[in-house]
Amino acid sequence: MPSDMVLTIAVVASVAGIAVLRLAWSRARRSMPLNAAGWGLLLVGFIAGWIAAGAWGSSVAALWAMGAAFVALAWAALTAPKGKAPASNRRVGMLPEGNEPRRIGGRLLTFLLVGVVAVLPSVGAALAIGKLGGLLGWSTANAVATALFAMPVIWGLIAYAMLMETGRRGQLKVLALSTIPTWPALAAGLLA
Amino acid sequence: MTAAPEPSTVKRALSAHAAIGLVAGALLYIVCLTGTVAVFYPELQRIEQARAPEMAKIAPAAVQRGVEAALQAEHGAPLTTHLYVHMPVPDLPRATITSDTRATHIDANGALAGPEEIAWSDFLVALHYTLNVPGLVGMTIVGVLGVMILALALSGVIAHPRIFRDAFLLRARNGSGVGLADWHNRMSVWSLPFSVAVALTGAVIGLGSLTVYAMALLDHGGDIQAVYEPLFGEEGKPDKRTAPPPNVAAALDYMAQHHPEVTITYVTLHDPLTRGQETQIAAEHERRLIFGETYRFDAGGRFIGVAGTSDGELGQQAAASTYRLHFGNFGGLPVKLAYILFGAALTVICATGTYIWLGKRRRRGHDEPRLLKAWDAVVWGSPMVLALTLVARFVLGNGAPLTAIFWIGSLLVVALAFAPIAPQRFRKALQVLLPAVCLLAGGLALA
Repeated sequence: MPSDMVLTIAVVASVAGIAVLRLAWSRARRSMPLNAAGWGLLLVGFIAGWIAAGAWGSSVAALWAMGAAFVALAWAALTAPKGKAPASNRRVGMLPEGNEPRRIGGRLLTFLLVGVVAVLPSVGAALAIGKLGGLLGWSTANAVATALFAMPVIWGLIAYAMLMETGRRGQLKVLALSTIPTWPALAAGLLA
Repeated sequence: MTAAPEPSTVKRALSAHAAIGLVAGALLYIVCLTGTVAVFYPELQRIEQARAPEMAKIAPAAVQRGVEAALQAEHGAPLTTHLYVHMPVPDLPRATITSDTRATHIDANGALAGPEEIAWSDFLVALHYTLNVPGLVGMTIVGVLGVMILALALSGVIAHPRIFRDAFLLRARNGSGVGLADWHNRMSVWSLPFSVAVALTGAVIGLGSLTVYAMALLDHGGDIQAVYEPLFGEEGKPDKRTAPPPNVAAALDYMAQHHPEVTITYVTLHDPLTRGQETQIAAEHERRLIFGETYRFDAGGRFIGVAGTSDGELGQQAAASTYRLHFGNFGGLPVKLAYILFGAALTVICATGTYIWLGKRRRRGHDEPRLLKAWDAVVWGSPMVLALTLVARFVLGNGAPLTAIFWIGSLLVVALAFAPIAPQRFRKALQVLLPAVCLLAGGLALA
C-alpha cells in the first residue's frame, strides 16, 4: 500500500479516535467498549503513522489528534451554558495562612534540593543506564543517546517523588535512594 | 478495584504541581511565549531584513565563489575555525555565510551582498534558549525548566483523577473560577503529547551538555567530542598548515548527482584554509524528523562518507530528531501552525495556573491584589515588552540593546504592579498597551 494512503489512514484513525472518545465521555455511564474503541483508534493512528513514515508519520498523526481535540474543545467553549457552580478552593500550602510560620528557609532548601541537588543523581543514573547498555552489548551511539534522554526524565521523576514527600526526612530518603545507580557506574568509570 | 489514586496522593500531587508551577511559573511563561513566537524564526528573519537577496536555489559554482570571497574578507583576522553556508530553502530562501565573527549574505552569483542583520530574531531565540544568560548556564536553566514541565505533567495528571473523564467538559461561561480551571485542565490534557515532546526534547538539548560532560570526564579523559562522535559523526583530523580553499562546488555537484532527492540546508567547512579542512553537507530528508544527514567530503570535494543520522544506529536517529521535533519545522506551514496553536496553549496553561492558585486563596479569604498585579505584569507585560524590543529594533537599528530593553522593561512593569493602582485598572492598561505595541511593531515591520 502506498505510504500516502497509510498516512491518510493514520490521520483518519487519529481524528476518529478523538470523536469516539468525545462520544464515550459524554455519556452518563462509563462505556468500556466505546472507551476501548477510542483509545484503540488512536493507537491505530500512531502505528499506521509509523508504518507510513516512521517517527515523522506518528508525529503528524498525533498533531491531527490533538488538533481534533482542540476543535471539540472550541465547540464546547462556544456552546457552554452559563453556570455558577462553585470553584474549588483546595489548599496547596505554598504560602502561610493566618499565623502559620513562613518557613522561608525550609522552602528555599526544598527548592535547592529539587531544582539543583537532584541533578547529581539524575546524571549519575543516566551514566549508569549508559554503562548498563554497554554491558548489554548496545552500540556506543545507542548507549549515549539513551543516557541523554534518560537524564531529564529521571530528574523529573525524582523531583516529583521528592515533592510528594511531606517531610524533609522523606525527601532526603528519596534523594539518597536515587543515588544508588550512580555508585556502580562511578566505580566502573574510575576503575577503567 | 479502581485505578484512581488515594485522596492523600491526589492532595500531595496537587501541592507538588502548585509548588513547581509557582516557583518556575514566570520563567516557564517567558520560555513558552518566546518558543511559540520562534516557531516562525526563518520568516521573522525575512521580515526583519526584508532587502536581503533571495533565491530559490544557488549554483555550486556560486557557492564556491561566495566561500572564497568570505574567506578573503576574513583576511587579517584570526583564522575562523568553521565557516557555515546557509543554503536557500523554502522558508528562508537566502544564502548566508557565517564565520566565527561575522555573517554575510551572498547573492545568486556568489558575490558578497552585505551583512546579515537579524539581531531581533537572534535575540528572541537566545531568550528562549538561554533567557539571555550567557554560556552553558543559561541553556542549563532552560533545560531544567523542561524537566519541570515533565514533572508538572506527571503531577497534574495524578492531582486530577477525573482529568481524562472530564476531558471535553469546558464550562467556559462560569465566572467563579471553574471556567479558568477548566481551560487550564482541558488544554493541558489535550496538548499533553505536545507538551511532553517539547519539554523532553528541550530538556535533552539544554541539559545534554551536563550528561555529556560527565560521560567525557568518566570515560574519555574530558574529551567531549569523543562522546558526541558516535552520535553525530566525526570531524577530520586537524592539520593547521595552510592550504587553498576547499572545493565546495565539487561536493555540491556530487550531491546533485547522487542525492537529488534531499534538500541541502548547510555547507560547513571545518578548519578552512588548513590542510585538515573538511567539507560537510547537511541535507534534509523528506518525511523524516532528523535535522538531516551529514555528508562528508575532503578538501578536493571527494566523498568520504555519511555520519549515519538518517540510517545509522537508532540512538543516532533519535538524537538527530530532537531538534525538529522541538522547533516544529518538520512539515512546512501546517505543522508550524499546529506548533503555534499548541505552543500558545502551553503558554496559556502557564499563565492560568498561577491565576487559579490566586483565585483559590482569594476564595479562602486571602485577597492579594499586589501578587495578582505582579502576575498580570508577567502575563500581559512580557509580550508587551517583547513587542517593544521589536519596535526598538526597527527604530534604533540592528545594534539596539534588545536584551537590556526586555529585562529592564519587564522588571519595570513588575515594579509598577506594586504602585497604588487598582488591580482592574492595572490589568486593563496592560491589555490596551499590549495590542497597541504589537500593532506598532507590525506597522514598522511592514513599512
